[in-house]
Amino acid sequence: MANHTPLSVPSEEHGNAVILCPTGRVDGTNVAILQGAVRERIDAGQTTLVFDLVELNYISSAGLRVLLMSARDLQSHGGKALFCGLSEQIKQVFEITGFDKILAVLGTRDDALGAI
Amino acid sequence: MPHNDVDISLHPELTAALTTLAEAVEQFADRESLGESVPFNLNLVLDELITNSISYGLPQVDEPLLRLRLSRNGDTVEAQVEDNGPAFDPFEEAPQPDTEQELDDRPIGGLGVFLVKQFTDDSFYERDGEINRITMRMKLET
Repeated sequence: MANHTPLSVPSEEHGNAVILCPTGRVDGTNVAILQGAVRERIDAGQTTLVFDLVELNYISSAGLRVLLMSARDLQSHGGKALFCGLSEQIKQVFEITGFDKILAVLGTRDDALGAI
Repeated sequence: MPHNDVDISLHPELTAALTTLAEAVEQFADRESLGESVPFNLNLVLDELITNSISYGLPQVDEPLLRLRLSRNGDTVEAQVEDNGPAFDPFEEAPQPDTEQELDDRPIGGLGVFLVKQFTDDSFYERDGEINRITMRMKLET
């Protein structure tokens, strides 16, 4: 049971950017929570989102799709998405899927905020 | 067959099945001391196959069956998913994503089976009577 924590998406404002920190596991059962959190920010006119994945234990392709769509959505609104805090496992998934080449992936949250 | 293999039926509903999957993989990984990467990748590839079964194949049959097996043989972990949905070979029929495409050009779907191929050393499909069976093998780093 230990690793099957539900998903929450705490957020934090930082200047013009909003940091989203998905916490727990993202899979097909709860991906709508992540999608909703992103949607809410984009609909509110937010153009820069930082996804700090440091508290993310697991992500399936359902979650990866939402990250990809979010980045694309922000880009089409003239904004951008930055990703940081990837665990070794998630970094490997980003590399295998080529996400590391098409998304802005930074090391720590400070690195991401510095790259805005 | 060693006594600590996993051989369980999964309730063919997404939340229940993925919760049971995560617990089964975690317990299996603890018993077999698999480290961190293998359980993550194992959960990921099984999640994809189980999600596909529950979303597409199993809604088409009256009495859906879904089964998960995990076993270890030396330095190889073997995982099997079986369902009784219509015959479907995901390796034949799923599109292959182009991981070199730019952000705007990347199709949103098609990642699941690609991840299965990438994270396993061997994976194949077979139809056995009314059953779809996918077998995957992952080598442990020694």
